[in-house]
Amino acid sequence: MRVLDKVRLRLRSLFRRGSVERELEDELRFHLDQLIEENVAEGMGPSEARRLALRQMGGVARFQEECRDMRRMNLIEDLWKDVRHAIRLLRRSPGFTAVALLTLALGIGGSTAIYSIVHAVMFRPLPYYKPDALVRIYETNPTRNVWTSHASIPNYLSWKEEVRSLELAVFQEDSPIWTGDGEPERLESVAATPSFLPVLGTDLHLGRWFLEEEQRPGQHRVAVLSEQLWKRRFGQDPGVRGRELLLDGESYTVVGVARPELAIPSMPGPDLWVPLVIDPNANRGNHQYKVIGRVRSGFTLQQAQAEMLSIARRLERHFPESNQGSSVRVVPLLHWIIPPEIRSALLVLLGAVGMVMLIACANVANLQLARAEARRKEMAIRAALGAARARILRQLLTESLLLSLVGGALGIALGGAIVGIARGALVEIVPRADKVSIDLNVLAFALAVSLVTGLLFGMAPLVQLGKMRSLDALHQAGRTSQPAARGRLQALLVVAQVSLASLLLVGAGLLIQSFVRLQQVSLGIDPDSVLTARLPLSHARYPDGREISAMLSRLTDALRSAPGVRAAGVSSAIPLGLGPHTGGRAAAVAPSDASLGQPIRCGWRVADAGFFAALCIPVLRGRVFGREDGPDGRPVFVLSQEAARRLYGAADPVGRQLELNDSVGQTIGLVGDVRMQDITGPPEPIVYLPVGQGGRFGTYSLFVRTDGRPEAAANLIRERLRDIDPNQPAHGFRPMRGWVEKSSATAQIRTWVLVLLASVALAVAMVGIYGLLAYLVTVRRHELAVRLALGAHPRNLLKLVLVQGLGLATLGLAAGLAGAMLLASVLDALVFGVSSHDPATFVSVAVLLFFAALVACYVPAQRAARTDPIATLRADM
Amino acid sequence: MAKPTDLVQGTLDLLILKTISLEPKHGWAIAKRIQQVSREALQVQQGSLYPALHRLEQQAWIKASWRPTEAGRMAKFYSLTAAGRKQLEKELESWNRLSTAINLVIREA
Repeated sequence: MRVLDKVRLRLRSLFRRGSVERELEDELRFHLDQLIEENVAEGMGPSEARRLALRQMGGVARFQEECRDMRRMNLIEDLWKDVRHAIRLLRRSPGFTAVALLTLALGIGGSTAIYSIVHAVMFRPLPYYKPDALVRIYETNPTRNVWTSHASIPNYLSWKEEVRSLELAVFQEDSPIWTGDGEPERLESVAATPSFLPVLGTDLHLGRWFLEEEQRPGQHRVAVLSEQLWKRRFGQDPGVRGRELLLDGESYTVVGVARPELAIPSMPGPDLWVPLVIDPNANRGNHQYKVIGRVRSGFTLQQAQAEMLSIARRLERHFPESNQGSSVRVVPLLHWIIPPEIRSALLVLLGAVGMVMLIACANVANLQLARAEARRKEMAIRAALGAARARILRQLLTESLLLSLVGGALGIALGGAIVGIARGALVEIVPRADKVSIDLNVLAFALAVSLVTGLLFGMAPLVQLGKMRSLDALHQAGRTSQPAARGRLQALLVVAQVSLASLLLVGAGLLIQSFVRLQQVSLGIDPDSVLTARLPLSHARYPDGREISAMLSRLTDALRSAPGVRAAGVSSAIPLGLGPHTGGRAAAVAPSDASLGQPIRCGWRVADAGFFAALCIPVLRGRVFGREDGPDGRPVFVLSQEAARRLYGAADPVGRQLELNDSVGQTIGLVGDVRMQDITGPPEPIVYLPVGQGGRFGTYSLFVRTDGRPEAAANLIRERLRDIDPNQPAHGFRPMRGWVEKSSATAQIRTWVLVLLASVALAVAMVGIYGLLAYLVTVRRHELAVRLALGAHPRNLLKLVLVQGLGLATLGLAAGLAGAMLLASVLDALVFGVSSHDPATFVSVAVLLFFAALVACYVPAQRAARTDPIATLRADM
Repeated sequence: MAKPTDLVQGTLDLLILKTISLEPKHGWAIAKRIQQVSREALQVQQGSLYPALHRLEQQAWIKASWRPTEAGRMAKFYSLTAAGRKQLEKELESWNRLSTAINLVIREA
């Protein structure tokens, strides 16, 4: 009750100031009138009575003020005065204010944004029930350095039957063509088992998931729509269940609608889900299926891993043909969704931005200290005029708070902008980046850090004031006795800044070099002037290799005959682009006894002669596929150089027999190596098969080399395709160069972000050096003037200041480079083609930083040299 | 007329609270009342009275209301709140303790 009363009274005093003041006046007037009346009663005349009364009352204004004080009004009024005073002061030194605000904004904005991104991508739990128990299961082959292979259906079935610690599900992506109502449209689909939904532990928006019997061929024609497709093509019709969809010419019945969360690994996810038809007699060596699982409660990830390993060992013994050397790996699902290269890049950026935040804080601290020095006289005068310590403290607090808050507001705006831009830039290459937003906890933390820094160092003048009695301070305010001693804290901060900046510069330098080396990797193809497109061929119209091969050769012939087209070809996958990245086992068949050589694991692709021509892949020996090599021809292969080297060593492979995934054929040619998936490792061995052999692919990729801009070929492809089959869509038009760039986009982004951060760090550190030296020159101007007056040459003074500044920079540089040596291994995962202790980088950083420091030192040094002894000494006398 | 004794530090609050404990009074009346009862020994200066009143009001120990005086003028009357009554008891008790102690020292020492 009493608390409420008090609050009410305070608020009244604050907001109804007018009426409170009036009441006070009325009250005092009443008192005065009573006094006058009393005096009149004692026999005085009215005017004399009034005069005496006024004297008896004393100074009304004074105790009006005291009454106000009692009401604690002054606290708030003073605060307002302090704020206005602070704004005036900050505006009077725009340089200081701008640098401090900018530093704060960069520190707060940058660190908040980067941390928010890292959090949203890496740490935010997956939107499923107990997401920590979700795992991805890879087949591996440690002896061949294969760690992330997909699984084969028979292996999956064996696992599922035997494993007790895991619930398993398997799925595979496809892209069927939807015909029927309106334009034919290519959809992204996922074929999954009935266990897929319970393993993820989520539910549907409406309807049901797949039943056990729907895994059997013939019963599998049911579909679950994505929310997007449901909205886009069915107008969110709640009665969508039971509707029919024509996918690749087969009719599917809609049984449910999924929630957006079902999209894995990330948004936007597939358009629909269908049951995966399980064929227990499939090839155990055909690794095309992705297996996920949930660790059953009561088991740990380690137990699950151990159990899976023992099952894999048993399978290896039972099926040595397909499972020789093969093992399994169980990793948390999030590790699959966020691949290690993105994980390590984000962590490095997080560390870098943390350093920028530290540098920013050091800078704000330094600026405050320097300013405190410049304001010693002001403080001394205030103290001498009787300002209470508490009052000065309050003024300083207000200034620091104001600075921190405005800087914080700018930081929030900057962070928001960075996050907005980053979301757009990252959404294609970083999973889950679509959900990136400013993290409020981080923002609060960054704000708090900057506030504390500002407040802590904003109090510096008071500490200095406390050290001396005010009269001494006034005496000394002009001259200073030991500037070196007083600058020690600032010097330390500058050294720290420079060392952090050099650390970041080393990191940025290493990444730039890696990126350049990455660009220089020989891809084995010429990506310029080539347009790629995707051709999803429907089962109904093109059921087997014969129709497919006929259709594709008609199309490429038509394209080749068009003006401006140099070459046109097809393959099952786009190098460095869309898959499927099919792989298998290949072994040389010895000519005499038909025994097999040591098998190798390799990639295989279907391609025609035009593919090699369009991408300028050199034919080194023999020939590539011709008309006669098709579905009806004998099995033939073309080997990449690396495949030939691993299978035959230096011997000529052409004409020899080869076994690929249990089918034997003859090698007819040898072509150059092509980077199919990864540009950082050695080239992958590849075996090429002609179109029509090696099975049917849902989607083929088209390559057209033109004379002009590759984009122009898109219309040509559409026209020729319409002539051949008007129901056949082509999509995904993209220049080959675009795929190549996309493959290094992560490297590019992380390089530029680190370069940006390092530049900011360098700039802030330069400001730090400059600020410190400018301050030291100011406080030493008396000494400098005396030196000049005694005959010192201005050049000596210039040198004096330069040496001081560069000395600090060198100290910081040494510390930073030593730190970089220690921390370099963190970058090991990100650097390519360059050692993380690369001496050239370290030397370049040292030179760059030294020159930057020189520039930062030069202006204050010159000011020192230009000191006017007469004016300075007279002013200080 | 003997010079009025300066009030012992901190006793003004006690005197004010006690003075208005029977009935609400305005500032002038409070000063007069203290003067009368103390037989002119205690004189409360306006300069200390009004700030003290405002402080007590801020503490919510007393509350004020504008009412007509007997002469018909409007004046600000102060009365005790429940919290003020408790505060008065506390201050009385501590005053008694203090004055007893002082008396003891004066007599016995």
